[in-house]
Amino acid sequence: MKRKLFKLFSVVVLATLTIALTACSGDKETASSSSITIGIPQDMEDSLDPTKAVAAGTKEIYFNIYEGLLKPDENGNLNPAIASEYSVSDDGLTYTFTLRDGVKFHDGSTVTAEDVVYSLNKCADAGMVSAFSNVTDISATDDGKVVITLGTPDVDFNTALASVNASIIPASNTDPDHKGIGTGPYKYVSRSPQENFILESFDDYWGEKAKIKHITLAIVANTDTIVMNLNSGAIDMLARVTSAQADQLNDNYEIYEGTMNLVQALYLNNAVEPFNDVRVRQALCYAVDKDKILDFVSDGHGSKIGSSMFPSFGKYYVEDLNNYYTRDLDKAKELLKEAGYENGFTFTITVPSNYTQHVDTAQVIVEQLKEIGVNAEISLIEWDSWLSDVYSGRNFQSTVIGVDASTLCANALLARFESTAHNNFTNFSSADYDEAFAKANAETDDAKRTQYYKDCEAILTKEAANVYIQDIAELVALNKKYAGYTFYPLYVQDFSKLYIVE
Amino acid sequence: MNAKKIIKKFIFMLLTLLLVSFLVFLAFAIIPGDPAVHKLGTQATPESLEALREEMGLNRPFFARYASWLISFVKGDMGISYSYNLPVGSMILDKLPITLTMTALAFMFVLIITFPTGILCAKHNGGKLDRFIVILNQIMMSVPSFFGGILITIIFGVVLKLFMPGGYISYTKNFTKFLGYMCFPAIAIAIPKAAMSIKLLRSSILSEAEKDYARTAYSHGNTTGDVLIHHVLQNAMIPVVTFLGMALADIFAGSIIIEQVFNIPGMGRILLSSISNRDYPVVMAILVLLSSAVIIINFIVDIVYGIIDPRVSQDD
Amino acid sequence: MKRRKKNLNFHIGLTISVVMLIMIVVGLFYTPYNPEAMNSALKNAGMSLAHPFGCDNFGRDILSRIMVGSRTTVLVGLATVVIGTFFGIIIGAFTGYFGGMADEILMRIMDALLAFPSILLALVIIGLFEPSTWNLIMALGIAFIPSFARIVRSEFLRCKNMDYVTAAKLNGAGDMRVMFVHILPNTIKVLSSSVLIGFNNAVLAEAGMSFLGIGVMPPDPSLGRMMSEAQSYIFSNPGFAIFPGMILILIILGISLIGSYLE
Repeated sequence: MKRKLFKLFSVVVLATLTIALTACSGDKETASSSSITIGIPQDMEDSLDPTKAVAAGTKEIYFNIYEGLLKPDENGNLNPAIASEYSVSDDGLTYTFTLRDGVKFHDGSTVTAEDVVYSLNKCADAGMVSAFSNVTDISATDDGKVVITLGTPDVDFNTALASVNASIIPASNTDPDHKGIGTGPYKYVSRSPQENFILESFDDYWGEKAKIKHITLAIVANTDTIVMNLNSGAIDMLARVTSAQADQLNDNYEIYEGTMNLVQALYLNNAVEPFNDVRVRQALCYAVDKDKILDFVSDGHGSKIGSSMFPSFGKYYVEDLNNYYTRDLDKAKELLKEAGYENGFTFTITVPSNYTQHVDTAQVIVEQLKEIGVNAEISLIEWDSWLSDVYSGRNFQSTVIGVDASTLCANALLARFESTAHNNFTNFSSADYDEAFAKANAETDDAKRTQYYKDCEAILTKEAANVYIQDIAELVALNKKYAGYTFYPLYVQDFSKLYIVE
Repeated sequence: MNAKKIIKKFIFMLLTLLLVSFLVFLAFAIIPGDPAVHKLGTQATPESLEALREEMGLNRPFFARYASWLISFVKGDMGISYSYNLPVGSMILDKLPITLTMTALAFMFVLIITFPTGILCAKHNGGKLDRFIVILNQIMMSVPSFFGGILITIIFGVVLKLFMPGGYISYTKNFTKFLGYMCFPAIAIAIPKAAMSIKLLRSSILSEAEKDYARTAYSHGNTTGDVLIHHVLQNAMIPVVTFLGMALADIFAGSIIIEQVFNIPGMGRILLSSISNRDYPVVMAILVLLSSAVIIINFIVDIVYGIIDPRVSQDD
Repeated sequence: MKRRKKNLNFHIGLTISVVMLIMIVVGLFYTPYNPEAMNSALKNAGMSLAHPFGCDNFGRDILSRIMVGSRTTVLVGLATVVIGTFFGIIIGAFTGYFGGMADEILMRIMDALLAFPSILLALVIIGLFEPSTWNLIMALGIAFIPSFARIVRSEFLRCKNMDYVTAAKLNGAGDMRVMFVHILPNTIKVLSSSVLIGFNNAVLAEAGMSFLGIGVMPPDPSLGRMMSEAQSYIFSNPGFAIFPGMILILIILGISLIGSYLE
């Protein structure tokens, strides 16, 4: 009996050890398999319909699957994509688009004017792109062109057509929420909730085809394990690692540096106490030390900002606004006293837990605000909850997040502060701002328009709409087996340019 | 243990399952939060919200809702996830094999470690090995599984490079590698449980060995080895078996946290994200499934316990 | 031999627990550094004379953070045990002593609650309301009641027919008096080891919740959260993960050694 037990026992042990040891041999990459595993911080939203996409994290991935009439390139130029050319009428109200020949959807069908009309109407109904509220008609002509008519002239309208929300999807697709069909260099294959999202290159793509065949987007929601995942080779690439994480990476990785093109700020809900008082908001601006934040969060990389605009948008960016509030604790305390908060106050900063940069920034802010007697408490929530509670529901006091520009125009970053804007999640309201913004939109002369936009930014700063911090440095960790990472002046990821180094 | 008692216990088990489902449903019905608002968003009009509520059957009396939910649940329809708009059943089914594998592996490790060690210690009671193991045990019992996981990652992953930390391989892609990877989190979970059961087994064997029947067997000239295994071990195993049955629930719970350390997309991750996202259908389903599993396992352990040891009186 | 070993266990456990307690109590008034003071020059500094446990990624002194973080952990353990014991005794005593219909119903409910692993229950309660230390204590306390009530109940079942109880009743003692003055003290020994186990489970649960990010919120120090954040720095600053873990082990070990003596 004892012998038998012993034998059984040793068999089991040997079996276990064998199994465990087979895990040791790493996955060798063969040249023909052409695949890459890319880590992303959050899962896509539940719908595959690009016209409904809200989160920047969703749109930056959908950029590879869907395209619109126009498409931005890495230099910020708008190039014809599904449209081969377009013309604008003299009064600026009518846009006529000629469609490119033979652009195919992922299901093999050809793009027609009907599909374009269907998609753009869907986009207008979804309301994600504010420029579309100005559209009075979208229709197809007999010779297969598409005509869009605007109510008032909008010089930047073409940028709206390059937004992911304005992507063209087939009218024949009855379930765009669950079946993702687009025209981009990659097609959607499958997804496993909270685990991965699989893409495959599209062989009939009209433009320059993608080089890597299989892409697995692995969801790494736990920021603390990013370094381990990279170093172990579980993922080959992760955009937006922090500098601390980058330092921990081994020699297999090349770090590329760019900017995230985000307006990161401590966003304050202007409609609730105490942030409905401009003096309180200004006090916070005087108390926060941006340099220290950049130091802790990204070892000094990144660019400070003073308003809702980042440096890549060259002509709109006003550098002086950065220095409007220099750190002055006495002034801050004085303002608080004036507003009736001599003994400080307590408030909550709601941060999405999957973005290390924002969590770290929040922690530093908490420390800095203590010096003026203000107690901030951090509340970490999941991304989905952030979207529904903070962004849509506006149920928060303050939050640290980065806001992107979904289209290549100043409007994208400034429209949300107009008091009636549907995405004005900070509830900012200023008559001066509304006036300046309206003037900017109505102006067709570029120089004057730019000036009006700059005025808007100045108002945001003076009114301390939020505590603006930085445009975060984007550090991309890419395994040296691959190359070709290309930075865009927008929050997008272009996978089609990645290739395997021979 | 006769058939009548088994049936009685079975009925009690069903009642408990029912009670659990009721409590879960009640808890989620009380919580503030309107599923219709969740689906349509806060910008929706009151009319569309009301229409959706009618369609979802939210205006029916409580027991009607509970009954229909329960009936669908038993048939396999666990509702639709708020976050993903996918059937909850398929979402969970996807991840279930992963968690089950980890639980099974952990359980196997506990068994492998416990029995030889426990028996060895009892046999050489008082010797150097015994004393060393007892001390080691005390320490191992106090190691939280996630810390064990971190240590294992450092030692076996980073230093010895025996596996890729975070390099989870799906069971659909490569089954052996999948098993291999899962061994490591399984060991992390197993260690504190194994320590506890070694302690239990050892003291159980020792106290059994003191009993009259064992002494009688000795005096009849049986060798120490035979006595130990044939008579004493069988009886000593009983409390250990009960403990292990209960430990299964803890192993399951421990797997939720361990998944984070090893980047495993199992039920733990789905549960955590659903809780945070207020994805109630998923949370309810997982809760009911998990607790049902625990109840059923305890029932089985109870029966086995009764069969092994007819001396035990069937109280309660 | 066993007696001597048991005593040794007890003494070691007591020593460890007392050392931990001293660390926590001292931490109430004094820590070597402000646990929340950030210092960019010391980011991820290793062990040194000035900072025996090194610094974390914000340059905060790890030893100071551990001293304050353990406080929360132990507090949660204590509060949980107090709630669980208080209600557990009441429920267990009444159902064990009186039995009857109420006993059957209550025990079924207890069984149902027992089916939920306490961590799961805590997860759900915290997730649905909000992450806060108080909610965590409530959740774990509720989770602890059923197991404790069962133990109390079986003790009361066992004791209610004993001689000393019959004698007390004959002397005219009322039910309440019998339950709480006579029976209860005799059950203390059995209950205490359960109490200690419950404490350890609560400590583990709190650390687990903080590790997952739904317990104590940053930048408040917490052993679990420190271990979670440390995962990013395992390669360069392993102490960041190891020291909080070791302290957690010591807290649990101390109590479990005392508990093993009582068994």
